[in-house]
Amino acid sequence: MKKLFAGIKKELILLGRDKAGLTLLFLMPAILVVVITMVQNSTFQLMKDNLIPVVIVDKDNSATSKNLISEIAKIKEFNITVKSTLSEENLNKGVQKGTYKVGVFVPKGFGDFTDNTSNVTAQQIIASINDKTYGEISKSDTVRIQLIFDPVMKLSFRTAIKEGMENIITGMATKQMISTLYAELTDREIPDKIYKLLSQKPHYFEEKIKDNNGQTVIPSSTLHNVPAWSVFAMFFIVMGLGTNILYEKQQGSFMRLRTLPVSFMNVLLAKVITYIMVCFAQIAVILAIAFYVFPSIGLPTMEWPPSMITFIIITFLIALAATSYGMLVGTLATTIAQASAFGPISVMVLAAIGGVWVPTFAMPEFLQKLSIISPLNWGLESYYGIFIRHSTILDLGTYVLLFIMFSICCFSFTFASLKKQGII
Amino acid sequence: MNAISIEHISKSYPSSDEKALDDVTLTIKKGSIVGILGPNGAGKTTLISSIVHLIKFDSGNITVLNQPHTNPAIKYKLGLVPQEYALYFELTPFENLVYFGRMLNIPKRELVKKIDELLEVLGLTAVKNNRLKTFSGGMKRRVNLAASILNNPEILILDEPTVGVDVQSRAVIMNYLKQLNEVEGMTIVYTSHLMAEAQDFCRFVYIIDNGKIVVGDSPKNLMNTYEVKNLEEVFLKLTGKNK
Repeated sequence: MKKLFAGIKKELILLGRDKAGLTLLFLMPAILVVVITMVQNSTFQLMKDNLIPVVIVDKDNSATSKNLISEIAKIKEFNITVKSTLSEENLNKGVQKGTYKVGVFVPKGFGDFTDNTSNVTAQQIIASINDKTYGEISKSDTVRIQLIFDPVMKLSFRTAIKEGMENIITGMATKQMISTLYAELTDREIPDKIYKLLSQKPHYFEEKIKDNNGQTVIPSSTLHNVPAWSVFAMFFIVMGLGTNILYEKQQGSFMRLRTLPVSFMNVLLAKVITYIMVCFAQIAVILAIAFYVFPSIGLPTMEWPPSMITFIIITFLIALAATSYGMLVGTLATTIAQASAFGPISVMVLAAIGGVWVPTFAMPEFLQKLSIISPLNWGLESYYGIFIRHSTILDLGTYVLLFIMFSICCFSFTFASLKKQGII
Repeated sequence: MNAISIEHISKSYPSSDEKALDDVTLTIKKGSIVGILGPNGAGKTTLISSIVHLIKFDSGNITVLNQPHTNPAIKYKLGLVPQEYALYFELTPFENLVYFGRMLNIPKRELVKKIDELLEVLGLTAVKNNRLKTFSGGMKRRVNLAASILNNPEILILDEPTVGVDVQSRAVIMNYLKQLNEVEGMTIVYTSHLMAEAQDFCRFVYIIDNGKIVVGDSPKNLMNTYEVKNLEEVFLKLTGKNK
């Protein structure tokens, strides 16, 4: 036991003197978690609070186009400005330059076209009921609204705006068509009461975000980023541990230890314990930032998980997996360049496919399938389970097994490789 | 009494067709200073690594202090000064020695006393709290030696301990080794290709070449037998190679 403590003390001193390594292990994840959470939070706030500026040029000036503008104005995410004096060319230029994010150009004749389309559709329905036919609208008569987007706007924004507009126009056309049908079938104008009914939007959906205990959970950028960067930080010890083992191999201290009355297991165990302690220290730093710094800079706060034991067990398993991986990298590497390049790059790749940078559901299907091989994904999903879904250790049984198997495999390969190299 | 007995050991590496050690037999008497001399690649380090059980040989037998060399208890009685600086450069000499001393189960108080004593003798007291990475090669060699004799081993094996060492450090190291042998009765086994140093230091030498022991005798007898003025000429006569 005294030998083990001496080994841990030696490892801690070595770590403490590696200022660059400490910066990478503690400062980098701390900066990342703050910066990325702020960025994601501001994007969330942009969607929530900052309205997207939409400029509408109404050259039609019909009842339909005015109705369209009033319907668009009801969309909470849009900040509408109507500039009907603007030419189509100037609107295009304004959007291209980024002066306007979205331009809507309603050409002259749009109202007549939509009215005509609805009437023709209604007449086609009536003709069909009476086993007759009715003529179609010529394509040359088509009048389209132009949606002009700033090139920097993301596809997701563009799609959301386009679908919102389509919903409005489809709703208006449907109302017009039903009014025409009503008039044709009853020889009366549609009553205001019925017309207003058509304008009402039934609420088909009720949004619920619940944890495993049925409690409502409000997702936030903090709840995504704190677990994600914690797992990333823990696996980043691969760099320090990898080079640590390589130095011992190259400088001969492993060889000296073999001539001393100490088990090599003892030597390696001291490293494992030290780096697991480092992982817990990293988690403590990141959580301290999330709890005490985030609220003071306007970021969503963190909540303690309901089961601290589950959190500690999972953190230990992630730390064990990260440590075993670091030892394997250090054992297989033959140069410092290999250890200090392969380790971090492999962690970056595993983080990318594991959902640390971008959530796995937003990835292509084959990457989603690939994500299950990443231990960072297991860590991330386990932490999501603990912090968001409030899962128990039994709920996370699959990940527990995966972590144990991964660690056993890494340690086994490490021992086999050290034996092959004649070090143990 | 023999400190080390080596009987017919052979060793081959998969990467080479030639044997690194070819039926080597030798004995090292307790309390002696024995040099194992040979050109680069002759098999000196392989022989030493076999004695301290760092590598497994293919055939033969080694006993250390009348016990199989694989006996874990031997590790308390045998010290190795490897050719590499087997130390932690980010630690101070004191921290390095504390760590290796703890691995030898030396009680803390006794260990600190021993470390202070060794650092004093080896001229390192003034820099005992400086990190090793700031040291010259000679100073690192002295710490390397100190780390191997913390528990006063009965046998000390040194693999080219003065390679790349300045004159001052070499004198400190060689004088201290002589003192360890004369005062403590420590058996010293030493490999080198520095013939003048070996001639002055060793009472008995084995010359090894191509994995085989070519000859074993005192430097004086060897010079008389081969009718030459120094050990270097004996070496060149026997190996036909440069040092």
